[in-house]
Amino acid sequence: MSEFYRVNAEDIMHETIDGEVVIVNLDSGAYYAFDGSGEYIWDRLSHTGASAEQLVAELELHFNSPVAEIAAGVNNFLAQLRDESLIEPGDNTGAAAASSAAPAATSEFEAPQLNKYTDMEALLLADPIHEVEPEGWPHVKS
Amino acid sequence: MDDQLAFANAAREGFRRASAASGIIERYYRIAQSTILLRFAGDALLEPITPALEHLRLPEAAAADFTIDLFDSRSTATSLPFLLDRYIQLMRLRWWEQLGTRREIKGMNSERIRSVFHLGPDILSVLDQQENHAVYWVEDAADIPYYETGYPLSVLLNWWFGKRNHFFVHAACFGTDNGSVLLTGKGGSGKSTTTLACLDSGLRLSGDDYCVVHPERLMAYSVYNTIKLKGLQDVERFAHLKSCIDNLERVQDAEEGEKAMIFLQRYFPEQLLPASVLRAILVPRVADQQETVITPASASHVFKAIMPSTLFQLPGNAQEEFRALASLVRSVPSYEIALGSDIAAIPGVIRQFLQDQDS
Repeated sequence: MSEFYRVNAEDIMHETIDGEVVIVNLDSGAYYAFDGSGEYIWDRLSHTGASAEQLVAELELHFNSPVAEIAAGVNNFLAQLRDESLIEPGDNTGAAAASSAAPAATSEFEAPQLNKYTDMEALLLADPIHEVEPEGWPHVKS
Repeated sequence: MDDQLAFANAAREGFRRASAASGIIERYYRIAQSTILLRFAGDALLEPITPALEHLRLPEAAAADFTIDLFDSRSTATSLPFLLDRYIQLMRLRWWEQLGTRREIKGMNSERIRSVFHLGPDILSVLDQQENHAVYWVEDAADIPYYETGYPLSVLLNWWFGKRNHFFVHAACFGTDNGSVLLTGKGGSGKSTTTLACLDSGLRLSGDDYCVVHPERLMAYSVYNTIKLKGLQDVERFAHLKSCIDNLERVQDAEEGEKAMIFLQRYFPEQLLPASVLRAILVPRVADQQETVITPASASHVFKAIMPSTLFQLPGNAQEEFRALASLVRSVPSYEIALGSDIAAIPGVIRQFLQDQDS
């Protein structure tokens, strides 16, 4: 049985808008976005939590792609989320998948891709006296 | 909590002493449907703080929803209470231990008490949400930097309004009595140039960098009547505005390198738009074409443009702000505006766009 994951709700904020998930980590200054099958995976992780095994089994029902391809995409995506501390291991409560979040049935599975934006990090990591423009923080020297 | 209340009360005691020495000057303002009272100990902070708010000033008011007490130690010859003074010294010496990533004072922030220390000019802002009261202190009024004069008290106002379902957004806002657009984007996206081009074009301005929105009523409110020009290049490009620039000498001085600022209330009061119904949010980008074109965009594209700089530039109520911005972009139509090289034509395109939304 693969590890069970939940969203790391303590450190991040997230919203799903027009099918795209946008996540922000206020402490690091990084923010993230992804869509497609990633939205389904995130919805499961944020509501009930899920293991890679469960996610692959659920996604397999919606796509004609080989299960190995789906598994590779899911595992890679979970690893990216874990590396960014957006998810964390959690207890399996046995809750079922939310059917309303099922992805649209399309013929091919597209592996979700985590997009990371770091343009705000410099703002948070700057020395507020020496690394700012004459107009002061939050205007960081380029 | 006891420490936080003691901290807030010490700031309040500082104002009491300063005002006992120098007298109190009161100014009322009507901002986003609330009455805000600024009480100054002496007159030294009037000039650095009030010009940007002048268009919203009330001659008098029976009561205030939110009171901010402001004082400086130098002109009032009043030191901070001893413990607060020691705390300030500690923050100056070891800011990386005492301050969070958004300048919030560690250990002095909760649902009720919020405090930040703006290192450099060394401005202390302390808010007591329960009492609808805040204190703003600086050692010397001459230390107030020009950008604080352009957008004063933004941290305190953002906190206070954020708990009352009104939110500061990092966006320009302009329009007519029939409605307005927010223009939001990163540096270099053409936001400032578009805003300057819209002056004197039939479109009126609510704010060039910040405004307050109500995400359910879809209303936008002006806070500051400031407009800024980026360096001498903008000053030359919009030469007709040169005589109105408040800080021209320091803009021309390469050492100081300030952005030029104009207080519209002084020169173009009729071009200000205090409140308006939000019709759209536009994300600008500089396009390699002559014509300016507005096309529909996804709400998530707009969210990624407006959310990061709004959240990270102002310490605030992050959770509420994040949700409010998401609610806003779901409710207000999203567009991209590809800015053409014919700058003078941009206001006409936006005006026509607003008329089309109305019909």
